[in-house]
Amino acid sequence: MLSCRDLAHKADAFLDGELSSWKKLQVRLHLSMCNGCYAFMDQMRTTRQLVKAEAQVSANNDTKIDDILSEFHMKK
Amino acid sequence: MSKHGDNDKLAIQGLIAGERTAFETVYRRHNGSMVRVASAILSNRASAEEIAQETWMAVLRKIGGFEGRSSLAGWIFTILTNKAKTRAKRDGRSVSLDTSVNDDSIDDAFDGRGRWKDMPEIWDEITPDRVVNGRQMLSHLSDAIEHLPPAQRAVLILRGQQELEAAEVCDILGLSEGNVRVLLHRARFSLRQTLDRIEREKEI
Repeated sequence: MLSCRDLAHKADAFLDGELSSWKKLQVRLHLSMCNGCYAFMDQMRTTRQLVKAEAQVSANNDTKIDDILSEFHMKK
Repeated sequence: MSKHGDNDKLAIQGLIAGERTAFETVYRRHNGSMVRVASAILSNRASAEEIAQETWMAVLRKIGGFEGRSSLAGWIFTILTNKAKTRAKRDGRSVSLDTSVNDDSIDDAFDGRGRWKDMPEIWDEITPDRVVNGRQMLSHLSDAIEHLPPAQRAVLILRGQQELEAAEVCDILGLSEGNVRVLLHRARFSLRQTLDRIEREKEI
């Protein structure tokens, strides 16, 4: 039986589909019996989605684009 | 070829043809992450921006010779990290990322018997839909990402945001696959801790 700590260490690999089927089963079994870890796994899913969303927001940095383009005389 | 294959093909054709819109698309997709990854290596934002700009120049010069052995993003980030490492060497800095993860933030969340010290509860306030509308939450997250140790930050950006293949990230950062896996998990776990604190304080 996995402890909650074991599950926390495996959460990311679980969400990435990188665990063996036996390990996956152990994680699923633990999640079905433990509300805390169920909530934790949900939070990890949300965290991963928010990290992706953050990339879009932090990408708005176009200050240098014209310098580069003028050097290469790109077509509009 | 990666799952980005078709996107890549169009982008590469556009770049070779010198189309401005193709460049802008690729630039917007990667530049922010490039500055961050270079910052992780150089610990200096201004140098990181210079390196990103030099990388774009190199990309435009060399795109005709790109053979598609990696994804386009993988190729761009390889050029970037090589340039950043050369700069770090020139500045007399260490070029290898510190991958030690001694401070075990995960185990700290548990008691001696492996049980949660603070039992997690489903987040009500922090959900992807709500958060994307409320920019403030994402700016908390940006701060937390900036405060991650450099190796964790670099791996998070390349794997968790740019979605490069694990093997590409290993090559680009010179890390083992095991290292990349652990660093990525630590990074996400510690961001989860930050978000949980915000949720519990309801300061969204």
